[in-house]
Amino acid sequence: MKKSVAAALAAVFIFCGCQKKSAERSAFFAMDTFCTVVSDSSTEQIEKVINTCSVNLDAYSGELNSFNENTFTKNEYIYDITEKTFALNDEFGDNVDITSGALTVLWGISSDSPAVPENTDISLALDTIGRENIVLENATVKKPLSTKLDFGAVAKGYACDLVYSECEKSTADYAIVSLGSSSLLYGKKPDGTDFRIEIKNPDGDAPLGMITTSECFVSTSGGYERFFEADGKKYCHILDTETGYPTESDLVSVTVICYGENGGIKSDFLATDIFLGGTKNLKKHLSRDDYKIVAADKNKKLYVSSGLDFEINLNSGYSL
Amino acid sequence: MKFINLRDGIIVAAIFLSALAFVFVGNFFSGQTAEISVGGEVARIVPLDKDDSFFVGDVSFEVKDGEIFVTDSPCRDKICVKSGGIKNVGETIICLPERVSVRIIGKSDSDSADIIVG
Repeated sequence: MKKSVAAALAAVFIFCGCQKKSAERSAFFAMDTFCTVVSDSSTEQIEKVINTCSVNLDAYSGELNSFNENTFTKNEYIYDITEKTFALNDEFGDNVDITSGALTVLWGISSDSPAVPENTDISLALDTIGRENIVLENATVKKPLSTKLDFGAVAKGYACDLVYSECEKSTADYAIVSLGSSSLLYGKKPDGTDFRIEIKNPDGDAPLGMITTSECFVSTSGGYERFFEADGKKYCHILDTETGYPTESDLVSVTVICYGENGGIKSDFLATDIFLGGTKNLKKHLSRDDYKIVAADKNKKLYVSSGLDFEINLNSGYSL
Repeated sequence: MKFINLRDGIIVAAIFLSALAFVFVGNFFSGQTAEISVGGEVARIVPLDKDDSFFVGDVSFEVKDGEIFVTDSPCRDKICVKSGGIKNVGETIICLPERVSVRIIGKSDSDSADIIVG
């Protein structure tokens, strides 16, 4: 009896072992959003990388909060993300400003009680903004007490870069990691096909279209999901640090694809930067080789980088 | 002496068939399915081929005509309610304040996206 049962169990194990390896999935809340990880390899390490990054860069708790109440920090995450963002500012300008924390808090758009602030308060907040006041040296970030750092525009993309490094170290053949507005499409899918990225329609109906691409980072920016209403007007969560008010950009959605190392923070930075720049500043971005974009404006017009495999959905109501 | 007698044969067959059942049962969910998570943990799996309405925590859902909607939530902005219905693999509805998320899982066809952004 034992011999035959053993034989049956052996057959079962061999049979089950020959089944196609299924994807590992993980879903959790981090970085103030819902995160999902799909990979052919263990998702545990990826989840850990994201959670650690989240803890270090969260503006409302932990290290960053302490730093904001102080004047210096040696936190490696804060130093690294600040240095990388400033390099992007050098190349693309200062639309995206990580020193705008006082302004973000003032508008409190994600808080329980957002309200339109007084102009005097806005002026006071604007006075604290400016990266010329930040000093990076000896692995230390120094700032004036009144300046508050906020990495909302770059943190998720930065986390994707850390995930990329983790994937390179692991045995993963592919990983699809979504942190809400920033994602990493890593490696190559088991069936060998390229990744497909669907872009949502700001008006909620049929998608704008589908991008087909090899491994990349993708980030989006749009005013239509996080906003508050006051006196019949919609205020979006993307602030213009020139005016101190939510941006009045004529764009409704910007999607940026970047390739290679540090592509995560770059795509996240550019998604906000390009959104703030409006249609009048789009031209210079559309011909770049190191990143590709799909932008939609308030007049239902689409702008797509040359060389990007983007299939427009004819039912979207948007046109090229 | 026989190598295998009837009793052993039945036990072997039973083990083998139950293993087969585990392997194939996943493929029977050929319709779309919604996975509702709270705080990142899966709370409920909902087949979308049957109309239904129910609560997960304080958030109320409805399944109708193959789509799932959030019909009400205690959150302030009700973005989850305004999102409308979802039915395609990869689509999600999120309620951040309630830490509830809904996503469509199931057999993906070649037309569906790996990721939905925007």
